[in-house]
Amino acid sequence: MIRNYFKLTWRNIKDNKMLSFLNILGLSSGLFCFLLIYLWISSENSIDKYHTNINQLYSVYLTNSEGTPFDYGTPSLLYKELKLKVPEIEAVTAMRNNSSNSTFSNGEKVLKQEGNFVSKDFFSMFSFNILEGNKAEALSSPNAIAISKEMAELFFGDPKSAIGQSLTYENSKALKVSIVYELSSPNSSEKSAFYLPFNSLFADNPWMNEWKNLGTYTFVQFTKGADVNLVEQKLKSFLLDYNLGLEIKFQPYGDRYLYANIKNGGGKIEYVRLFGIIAFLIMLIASINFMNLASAGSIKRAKEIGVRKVLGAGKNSLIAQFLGEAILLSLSSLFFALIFIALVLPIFNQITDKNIDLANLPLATWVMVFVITIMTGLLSGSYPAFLLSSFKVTDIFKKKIDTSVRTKWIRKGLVVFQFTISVVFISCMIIISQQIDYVKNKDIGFDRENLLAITLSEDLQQNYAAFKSGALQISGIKSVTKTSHIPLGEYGTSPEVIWNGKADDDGSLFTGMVGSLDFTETYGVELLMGRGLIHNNPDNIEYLINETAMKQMKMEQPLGQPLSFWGNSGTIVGVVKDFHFSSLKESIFPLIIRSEGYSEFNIAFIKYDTGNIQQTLTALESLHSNLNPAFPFEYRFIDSEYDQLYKSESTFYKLSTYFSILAILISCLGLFGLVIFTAEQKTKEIGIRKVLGASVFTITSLITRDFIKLILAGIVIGTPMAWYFMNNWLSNYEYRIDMPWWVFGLTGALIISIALFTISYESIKAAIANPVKSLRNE
Amino acid sequence: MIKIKNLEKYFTSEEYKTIALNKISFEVNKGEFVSIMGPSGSGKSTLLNILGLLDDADGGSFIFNDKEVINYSERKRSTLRKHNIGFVFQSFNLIDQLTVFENVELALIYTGVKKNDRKKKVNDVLERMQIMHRRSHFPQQLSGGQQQRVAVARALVNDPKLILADEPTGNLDSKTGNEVMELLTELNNQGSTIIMVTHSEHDAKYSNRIIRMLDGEKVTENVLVNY
Repeated sequence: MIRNYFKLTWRNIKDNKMLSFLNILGLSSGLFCFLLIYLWISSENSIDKYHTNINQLYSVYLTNSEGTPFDYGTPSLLYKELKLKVPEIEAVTAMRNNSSNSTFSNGEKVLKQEGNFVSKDFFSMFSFNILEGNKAEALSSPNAIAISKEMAELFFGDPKSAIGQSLTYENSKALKVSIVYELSSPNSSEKSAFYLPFNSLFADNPWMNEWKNLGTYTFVQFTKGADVNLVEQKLKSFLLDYNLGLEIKFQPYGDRYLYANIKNGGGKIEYVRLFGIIAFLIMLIASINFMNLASAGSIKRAKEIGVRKVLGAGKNSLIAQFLGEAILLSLSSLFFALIFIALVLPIFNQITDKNIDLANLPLATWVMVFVITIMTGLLSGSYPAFLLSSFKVTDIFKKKIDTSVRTKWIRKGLVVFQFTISVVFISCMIIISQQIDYVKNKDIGFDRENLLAITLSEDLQQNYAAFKSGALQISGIKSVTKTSHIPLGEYGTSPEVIWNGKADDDGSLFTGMVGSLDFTETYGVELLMGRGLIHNNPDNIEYLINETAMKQMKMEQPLGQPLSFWGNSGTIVGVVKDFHFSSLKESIFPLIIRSEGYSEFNIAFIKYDTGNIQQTLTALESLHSNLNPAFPFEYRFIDSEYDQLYKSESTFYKLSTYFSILAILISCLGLFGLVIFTAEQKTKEIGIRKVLGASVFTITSLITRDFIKLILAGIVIGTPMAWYFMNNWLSNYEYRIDMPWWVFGLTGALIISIALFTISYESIKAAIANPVKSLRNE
Repeated sequence: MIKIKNLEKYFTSEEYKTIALNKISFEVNKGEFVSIMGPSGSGKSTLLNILGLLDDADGGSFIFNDKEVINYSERKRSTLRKHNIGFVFQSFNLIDQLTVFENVELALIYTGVKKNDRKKKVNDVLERMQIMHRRSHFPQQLSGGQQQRVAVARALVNDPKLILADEPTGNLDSKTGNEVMELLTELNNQGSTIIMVTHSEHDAKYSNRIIRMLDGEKVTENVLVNY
């Protein structure tokens, strides 16, 4: 029986080439999108889950006393206290990112590498393949360094020869390679080239001893079976002992990658969800095509169904037969979908920054792929199966089955649904692109064009004056300043600010950065009051504040007022207009810029002319190597770094554009099929009309009119939905475009044109056919 | 074998009700070859559909092999049908995507016959219908007469107690039509019970008994039995 079905399915495919082509193309495209997104989602879901202790690993974050999540940044001493005082915690590690890449040298080789400072338990908590050395002693000595296989290969050729070798850190500190590790899975969000002992940071950064200064990440490993909620309860007032009005909370480490935005429980998971919905909708569009084509074409199968019923086929066996056919078709579509996927995977990996490899998928993923395909077949086949199997034999043989009437409304509804989704997809895609453009081109309050950042390593910090005067002599360079941060990233915040009139219970948080002479000119920040920073004198600290800080401190005349930040007393010399120093999703935070600082004070900013940038860079490089021979020259363009801030948006936009285009193509494929059937059904009507003198135009519009009505319905339903979704999405942004109404008009026009184009070919073909032929056929 | 009494069938549309069969009664004995005749719309096909358990009646009694089947469910009718009744249609109703062999085999598949038995039975019946040489052809590759032979083969393959033929020569030229009629007569001589609906007096003469039906406008009241 099964063989009989197979044979029949195959012969049906062969006999209805056009229908089968449309069905397989539609289903393959649908499966292609769905599986691609599925692979991406499962890859996203697997990030960081590979650690052996994953069920015991948690990230620490802090909330205020009302329980509102705050940040992953914790006091730098927290890890020691937690291990000491909380018996449920088996291991703890602190972690600090290096604010910029570190320079390592070994003999002639000088290279910049990115890594982290972690404490002793790190390697026992997280899973790594240790290639060389003893894990337990990885970071036990203050001048030990753990390096990755790649870094070992860069410096020493291979891991074996790296062990015990020395590396010079920032041209000053001699380190000894203690272990060489390798990530035990590529699905890691942590990709450090090296790890240094966290302890070694305290000497240069005394502020880390202060409990009020947050910014160090803390990770804990609970004992097996520990009740994390209970521990949170027990630790409710833990930080009060250190005069910190914040509470400790734990997030499963496996959730950190997807739910990094602890303030609102979001993060990359939002994209995962969105793409999940997109995948599902595209699959639905493809399945609807199948349903529509199969039900529209059911008249052709009526005789077969009649014969089978006469010979004793029950309803169930017919349902099974048609479901089986649909599954068979979707399995063949899977074959094509996998070929498409294999073809686009390299580009897809590049866009999404992934390493998905079809050859290396886990068995479970393959099982899911087949389950999804079979489910698709079941979904697509369900409606035709129930419809076809419900035909009555007597009706079939009397040719009384008029599927066009019976199923017309369902088919119409499904077409409207498809185009509703297409309208939503396309208008959302355009609006997202508008918002991304807006963000990328927004005046963010400082001039990020033609701005270059150079890390000031060791010698350059001392020789900054020489560097600055040398740089200013290079043609094309307009101004030079130095600051502690690149104004695009995450900053630490601190409540340790004192000003005249500050209320006792005022726990306002401020962001701090260090600036210097020519800061306002180089950044292109507007001064509202006073002057920029001039002096760099530890005894006479100058402060610039932004407008938001001024409002926060409720100062009307801030100039000349005393201010203390992190215990450094000074005077406010100027107020700058608010500028964005992080993503536009965030509102502008109160900012204090002071004229003197710690060792983080290490990035030079250079404003240059749009002239010969290559020449300017070459000159800067030679200046750099004269003054700072031990360090490689490394620069960053601030405008391209700014674009990086919106990388996930850009990626999302790019992918959703492709998927939207596919969605509308699949919808049109279905439409095309339906038009063929309509033209076939109306052959007699068309023939009679032509005999009576109807023009080609009248007949074409006779066929197209009904379809255009459906598409208009799709537009009418889809537009408010798109408006609703986009209004929600835009509200994530502190700075956003107004809802562009023209988008909906454009989408409507676009969809109607595409649909008309799809319909017209078959309609005109039907209209110009010889009427005698169509009448004779009847 | 068949005993119907006061059989009724209506067709209702939104506006009016048509009586297709109005209290019709007759019997068919085992081994008979009965023709049902009447002009278009007289209800012969409706009657044949009910006799073939493809359709249900709205009233009356239908005894098939000593069992009242008038209230049988679709499932029960289907089971009874596939084991006991073979159909021959005017338009052959062969499945275009299946070969001659497969078309005939299909009837055995639904009655659950094992594969090896199927092969033997199909070959036997094709041999008997003298169409064996065409076993791998598709219906479109055959002449009308050949197609009808395949259809008869399919009707016979399950050794049915009753063969129902709905204008079996309607789509054939007279020569091929005669061949099919001779085939049916031969089957009848071998013991098959046959009920045939036909327009053709010529064909009806092959049978033992003719039941004439007449559609007086909307009511079909008269049953004319004419030996």
